[in-house]
Amino acid sequence: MKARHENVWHEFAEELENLQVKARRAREILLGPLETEIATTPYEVVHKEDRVKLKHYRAQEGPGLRTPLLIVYALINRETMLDLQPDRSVIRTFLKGGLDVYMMDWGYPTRKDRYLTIEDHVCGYMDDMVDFIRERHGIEKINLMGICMGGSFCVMYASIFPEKIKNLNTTVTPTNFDTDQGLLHVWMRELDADRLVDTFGNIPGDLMNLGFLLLNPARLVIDKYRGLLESITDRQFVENFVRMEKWIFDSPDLPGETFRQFIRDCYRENLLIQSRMRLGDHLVDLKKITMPVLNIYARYDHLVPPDSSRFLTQFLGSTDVEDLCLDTGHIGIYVSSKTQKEFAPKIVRWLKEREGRVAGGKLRVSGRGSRVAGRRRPSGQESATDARIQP
Amino acid sequence: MSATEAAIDLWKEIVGGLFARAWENAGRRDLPGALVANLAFNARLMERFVHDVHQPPSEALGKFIDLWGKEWADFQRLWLGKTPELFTWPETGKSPGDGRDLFRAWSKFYEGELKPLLNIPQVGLARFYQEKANCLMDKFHSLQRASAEFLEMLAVPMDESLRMLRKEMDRTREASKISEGLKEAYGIWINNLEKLYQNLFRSPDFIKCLSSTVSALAEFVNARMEYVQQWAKAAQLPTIKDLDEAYRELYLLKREVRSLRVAGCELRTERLLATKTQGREEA
Repeated sequence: MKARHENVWHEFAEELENLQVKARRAREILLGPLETEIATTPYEVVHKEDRVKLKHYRAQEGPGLRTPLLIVYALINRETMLDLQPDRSVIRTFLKGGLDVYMMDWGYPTRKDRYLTIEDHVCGYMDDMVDFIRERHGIEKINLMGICMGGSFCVMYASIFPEKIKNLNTTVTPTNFDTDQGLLHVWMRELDADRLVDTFGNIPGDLMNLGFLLLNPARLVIDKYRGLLESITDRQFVENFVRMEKWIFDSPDLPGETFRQFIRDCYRENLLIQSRMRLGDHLVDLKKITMPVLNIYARYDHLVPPDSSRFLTQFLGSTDVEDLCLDTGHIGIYVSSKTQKEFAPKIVRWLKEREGRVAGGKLRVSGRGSRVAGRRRPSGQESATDARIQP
Repeated sequence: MSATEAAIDLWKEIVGGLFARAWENAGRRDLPGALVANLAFNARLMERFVHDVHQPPSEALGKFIDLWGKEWADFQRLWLGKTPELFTWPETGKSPGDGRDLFRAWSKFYEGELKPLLNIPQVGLARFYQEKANCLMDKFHSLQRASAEFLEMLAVPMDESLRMLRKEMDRTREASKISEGLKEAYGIWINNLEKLYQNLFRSPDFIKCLSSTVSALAEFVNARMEYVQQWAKAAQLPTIKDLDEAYRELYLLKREVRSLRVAGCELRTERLLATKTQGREEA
């Protein structure tokens, strides 16, 4: 008993000593220079319309694909996620792969943007940007990539203007909202969106952040910072952590009418996957999406669960569709070191394989033998949602 | 002389004495002497006052005290009678309920007793301002109540996870080092906490509470805006409503311009195609 008693004090003294060393090192790091800049890949703003900008990243290694890629991020948070750190930058991977990349910067909506609808974003800003790129490069079609809500916009756009899109890539994109897998889907059905919009105009970014933190407070409010304290002597960890914090709390407001329509038409009535969603005079008919589609989603995504993403390809008119499920979460798909080797290179390869194709899904005759990619049935476990969702 | 008359005489002496003596003495240019005389006079007045206070109170004073004392006691009995649930604790051995009995009791009390006071129709020139102020107070209270209930719900998994941790630690007391023990304990606690929160967040009670909290927030913000806007209007400043109207018109104008531009482009394209076709046919 006495020996154990002495051991306890000995261990306590040891812990205190370790803590002191750690605190000293932490002080050096936090008070010293930290490289926490995000979105450091050089770009040029080539077009601007109201608050929306079009950024252009030039391909690094000589001429690559002739067809440029336009990336459309969500209206929630910022597109800087794709270029968070130099060694984990989706943009840099694309540029190294020879892609000519354009990215839409939705900017920071103000009160005057509160009346902008989904139609204004898709058939207005997106269409103008696509036309600008087509004219600039002298081409008829471009490649389109959408992320999260941006992917939903891309799906809508591709169905309304299929003649302008060569290949479509959707990433962690919610298209089916008839699922209870994600908490957001459960909550959004009960939330009075009309009252929120009538009160706030635009939905405040801070309110949305609070909602996202509430999805898992144990991990996002407590455990995350415990992890920081544990690794606070690692400069690189601290820098990456601060970069992530900079991005995650950089939340623009969401235009009110867009929010209202998204909640009503998507979360409540699930019109998108049923091809019943209307943007003004345009009907979003998924059968009109006839270009090749690569649909990537994350198995452990708590914001856009697999059941929300994986059914898209079953409803398209395209014969060249592919689903890819990665073992990661909603944000990990872009920043996890493991998926960095899987995610962006896969997109580059996929686009390169289809670069030489003409309309109709047929491959142009080249020197080598090539085959037409057939429709790949999505693999996945049967769920209650499967029974409800039928093409 | 009655107590009232004595009080009036005393008052007259005080007022007369304080000013008259000092004025007289200052006129004779004997200011120090005047001040001393004044202080002595004030001391005599104070002695008289203290003496009078210790006299038996008159009948009128007794009746006055009786009346107010009775009213105060009745008032307390009335309000205690209306709020028994606020002061009721669960009996020993019985379940403490879902922990929201206090919120329900307070809501019942507020809706029944306090809110009608805020809804009393206002009169006069400032009636609209007062009405909006009352509405703001009401919505502020609603927000506080909803937030308190929401936070109380969020605290439940925290309590439960700590209870579970204690049980687990009682069960496994062996740990080779303090730090390993702490890490293990933290790991158990955070996992339990996460699971408890996930269960809570899917429960209908929580969803209802979340929805009502968000609604209460929206109502409060609206009431606050209404209250502030009326002052802005009085000060001839543009209000949020004015700006929203202007933005709406601007938005509609821009849409109109865009649709005209698109229609113009399509028309130009059609004419160009028609001209080319015609040119080819002629050729």
